[in-house]
Amino acid sequence: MPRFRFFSKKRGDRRTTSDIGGRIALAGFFAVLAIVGGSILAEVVNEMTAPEWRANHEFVETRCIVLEKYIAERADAPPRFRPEFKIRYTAGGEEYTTATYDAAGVYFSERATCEQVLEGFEIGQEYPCWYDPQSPSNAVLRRGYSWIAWVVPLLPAAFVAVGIGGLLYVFLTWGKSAERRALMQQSAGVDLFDTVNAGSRLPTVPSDRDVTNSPGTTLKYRIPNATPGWNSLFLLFAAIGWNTLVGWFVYKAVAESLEGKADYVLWFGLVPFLVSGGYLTFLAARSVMVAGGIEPTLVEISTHPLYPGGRYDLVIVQSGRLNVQRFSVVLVCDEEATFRQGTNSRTHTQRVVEIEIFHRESFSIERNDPLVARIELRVPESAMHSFQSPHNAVKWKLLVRGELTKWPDFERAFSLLVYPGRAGGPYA
Amino acid sequence: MNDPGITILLEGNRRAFEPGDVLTAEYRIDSLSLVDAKAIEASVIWYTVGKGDEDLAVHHFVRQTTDAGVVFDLRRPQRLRATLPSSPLSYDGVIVKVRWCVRVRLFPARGRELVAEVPFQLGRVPAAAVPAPPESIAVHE
Repeated sequence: MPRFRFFSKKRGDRRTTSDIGGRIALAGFFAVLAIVGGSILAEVVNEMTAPEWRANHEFVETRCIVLEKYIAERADAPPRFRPEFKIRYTAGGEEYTTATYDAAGVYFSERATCEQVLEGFEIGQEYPCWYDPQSPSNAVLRRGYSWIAWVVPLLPAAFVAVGIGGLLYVFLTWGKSAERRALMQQSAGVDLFDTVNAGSRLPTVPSDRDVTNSPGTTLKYRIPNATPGWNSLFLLFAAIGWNTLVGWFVYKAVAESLEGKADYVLWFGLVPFLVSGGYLTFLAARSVMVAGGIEPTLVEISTHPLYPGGRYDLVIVQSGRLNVQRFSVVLVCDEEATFRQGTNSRTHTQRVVEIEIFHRESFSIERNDPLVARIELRVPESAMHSFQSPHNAVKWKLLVRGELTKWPDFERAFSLLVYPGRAGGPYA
Repeated sequence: MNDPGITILLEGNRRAFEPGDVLTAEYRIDSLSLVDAKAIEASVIWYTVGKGDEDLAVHHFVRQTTDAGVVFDLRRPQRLRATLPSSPLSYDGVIVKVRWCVRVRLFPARGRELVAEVPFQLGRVPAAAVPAPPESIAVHE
């Protein structure tokens, strides 16, 4: 008997969920989104946006006498307020009395705002007002535009747009083979941020413009450091945030202990949080010490992109004052697979090539005497080219690793692109 | 009545190609009687297999349909010809694999669609493996 799963599960090359069932569910989801969003949008436009627009464009000006003024209260939590005026006016020869202020019927969170509005009008005085020629009993004392009448509809409008867009996608691809759907996506695939050579001579091979737009001083190109700099910053903020939070609980626990009301459960519960905070602090300090205390590593290469079987000159420059136990340069190739697990997206990385192309041990780098290593880089003849598709990738990089005395070890990554070819050149 | 089957033949039964090579294939529907079909699609595609979600791209695509009142005898071999691109090359990685194939899909007037595919190799990238502890072919100073 077939079983229904909320989340699909990969079984080798296939998924366990039914494609047609999934598409019906997806269509249902988008339909609900469009219907609910549309209903809310219609309500908001009908109640706020349209009346305000009509009051500004179609209502007819006349004079009215203010009979009463008061603050109307809506029993929300917290309550909301609105100024209201009972006015009398004449329209089309008939006299009308109504309670009104603005067309959108905006409520305020502050009572004082309404009181200010009320102070602008005197009972028994005459003021301009505007009435609806289609329904003269409907009038306003204030015209103009309120942001709420025009911004609030944007939220349900977004639901409608996503719902309709999703329904269009489902129906346009309904009954079409996986190949036809892929072809439609390829034809429509315009991604401004895409770095892959889509539609070029080398589909799925990333562009090397990040490397070739950076000239070197010794060799032709300087390879940018691909180690994300925000890692240190993120760790630092995470450590500060976490420890501030834990520190507040520690403060409470200490204060209670000093008052003779020690809460041992709280103290016991805090231990894992304190340990995590300590480890996070250690990671952040290490990362900041590496980022700030070790000067940049410069990597230059004789040409780019690389080809399987090719030989290239590399220059690695490491400056600063460092006591190095071991310094190495490693050529690596990583496979990256991104997959959905429930509602999360996860990326798994697997190293498939790791070749040390340079190492040196037990030496010092002085401020005016940097390490300058000239290396020959050989790309294996059997190398897979760099590859990037939406969920899968093959990435080549150089890793520069340093094991230091009295300072945290470091590893810096420099992305390389290996293009398809053989014997060190492209295919003919 | 026997259900129809799909036969795909790569020219010369060749299974390995280099970028820029021309792939020629013939495909036909094996059936004793005339097949009542809405459409037939033949494509040259690559797709990924492995730990990641599947990515699929179409390099060459042909669709024949009876929508316009055109009747064709699918039992007669149809021909497909495509010049293969320079990438992506076939790859048998550890968690990422790239596979190329010729796929034919038949949409019968009634019943479930039929699919058949013949894989082939593009390029000569050997299978990857999890590396042993770092090997060194280094210049040691």
